[in-house]
Amino acid sequence: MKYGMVIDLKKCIGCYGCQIFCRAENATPPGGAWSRVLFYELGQYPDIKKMPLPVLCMHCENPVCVDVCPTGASQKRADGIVTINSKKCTGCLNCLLVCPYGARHMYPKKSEYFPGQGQTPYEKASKRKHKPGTVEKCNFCLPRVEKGLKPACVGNCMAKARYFGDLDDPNSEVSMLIRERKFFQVEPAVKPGAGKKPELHPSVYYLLP
Amino acid sequence: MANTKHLIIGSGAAALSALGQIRKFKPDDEIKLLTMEDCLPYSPASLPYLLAGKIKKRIPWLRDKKYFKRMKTTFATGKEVVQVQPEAKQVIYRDGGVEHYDNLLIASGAEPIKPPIKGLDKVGVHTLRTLADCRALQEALRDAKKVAILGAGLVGIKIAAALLEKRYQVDIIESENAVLPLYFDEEAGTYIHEIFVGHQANIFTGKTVAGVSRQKNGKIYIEFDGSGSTTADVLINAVGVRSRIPALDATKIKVNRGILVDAEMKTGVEGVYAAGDVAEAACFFTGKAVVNAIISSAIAQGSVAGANMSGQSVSYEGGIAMTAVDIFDNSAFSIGLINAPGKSLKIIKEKDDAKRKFKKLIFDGDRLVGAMFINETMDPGIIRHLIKKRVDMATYKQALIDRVRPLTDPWLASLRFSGEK
Repeated sequence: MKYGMVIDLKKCIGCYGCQIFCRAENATPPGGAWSRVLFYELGQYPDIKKMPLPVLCMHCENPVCVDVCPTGASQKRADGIVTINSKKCTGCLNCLLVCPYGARHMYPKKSEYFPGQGQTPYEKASKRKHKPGTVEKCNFCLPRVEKGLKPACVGNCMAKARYFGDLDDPNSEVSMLIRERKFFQVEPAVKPGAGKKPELHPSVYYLLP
Repeated sequence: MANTKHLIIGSGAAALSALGQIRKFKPDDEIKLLTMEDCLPYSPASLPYLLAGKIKKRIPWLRDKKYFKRMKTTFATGKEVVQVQPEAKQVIYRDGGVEHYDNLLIASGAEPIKPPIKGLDKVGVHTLRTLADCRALQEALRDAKKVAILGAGLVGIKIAAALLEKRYQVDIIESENAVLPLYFDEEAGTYIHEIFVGHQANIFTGKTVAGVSRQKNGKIYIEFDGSGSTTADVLINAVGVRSRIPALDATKIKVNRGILVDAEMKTGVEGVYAAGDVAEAACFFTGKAVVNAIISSAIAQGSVAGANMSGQSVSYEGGIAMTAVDIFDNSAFSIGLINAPGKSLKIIKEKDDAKRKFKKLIFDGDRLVGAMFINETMDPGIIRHLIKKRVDMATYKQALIDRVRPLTDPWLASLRFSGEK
């Protein structure tokens, strides 16, 4: 069992839908989006395209963030999801330093969506989901997954560019897509052809545009 | 052929990381982990938080007994190695016992430096490196009101923040001119200084302690060199750590401040490796050997050592100094080279005194080599990636500071999409 995500960049239109639905589902604080859309440039001027790249926690096979956690708050579950136990997290920020994806954020003690105007009713209501002073990140919408639902960003992607499933199961949608299409993993920790360096091996796959 | 026996001295981050690697490549080899303490492995980095009461329920063990059972590893407690004899391929314990090995990894970590201060032993000084230290300190703090901390390094700062939150009066005494001198320059140090002063801490920078003594009323009297003095109920020594090296006399293992190792974590003597705080490995920027006593270096070195001990050929890419502190809702990060004498570095700086924001990016030519920022929303992991991958930042330098482009732009540009090859 290894949960993973496949994002089809041919379908992704960069509408930020995933980012908004992630925020709605997880009530992430300002500046700390778990699911984001970045844009990169493809080609050489004047033949240039601006392409979206939705990013989230990559749920690496060999997560460095879990290794450096001095309290064991960050864990890799048997189903492949990397989680943070907020009861054990002390906010030491070691994991933020080593994650090359910028996937982790500190939940601030004071935060307002609209600075100076007080917290919105939604922020107040969703406070119980968080523990200020601890580090948070995408957990593949674990509460939803445990109920048998897909992560919010997958279910609500209007271009239907996101797929979620078991990478270990050869018959799952995600496995089939990876088999049939050209894909890449964002793996900045490994230089191409650098040899046997320890790999992060992310569980998020991108199908080429 | 008999299985190889891997002996690992220590049970910290480097040791556990090596254990994982050895087991990955060699499912049947014998592995034995030694710890001088009588408990499961834990990280010294968690102790200031344990002291602060941020971890309430239980001690944050890094691994439990089940893990060692699953990894088919012997975890021996109370075993302090005092001598290594590489010719005979054996180690000597403090209790006189002898243990044979085929591959030895020295990952014994570090121990606090005791500054040469007159009267320090007499008044009783606390440190915070082991669980026992933490327990003793908690006991001493029970009746104390005022605490003096020697050293404004990472541990000193974290203890100070922990104690201030618990409403102790705190004095911090630092011999350098700013707090966190290893990680921040004086300008950034001033900001951290101000944050502490804002929370009623007394910070004495540029002061060395001439002597300490116990007064008649039970308080500890601390006299500075030159002028000035202070008193405290409890004195904590946090001036720094040094590698905890077992006796290596009559061996060819070279020792400087730590055990000198090559890129493969080998000590030069067959079958003996070193990793973590005890090892002196190459610096990422200069290639010179330095002790980089931080958790991520320990993990990386342990993993390299473990892989090489199980017959792989992996090399360490060099340590990058870095740190993160979160004090009273202010975050401060420092990564990479902060000052390099003799090198002409281009520095881009931006600060906002009112909001207490500080940002400094340090470039060597077009490459980012260091950064420090306080209360900025830049992601330190991405900065570290840009440094580590030596990304060409020519077009992004000023844009980054001007906030014209986000930090993720050079990150995205540096990605090589594996499918496009």
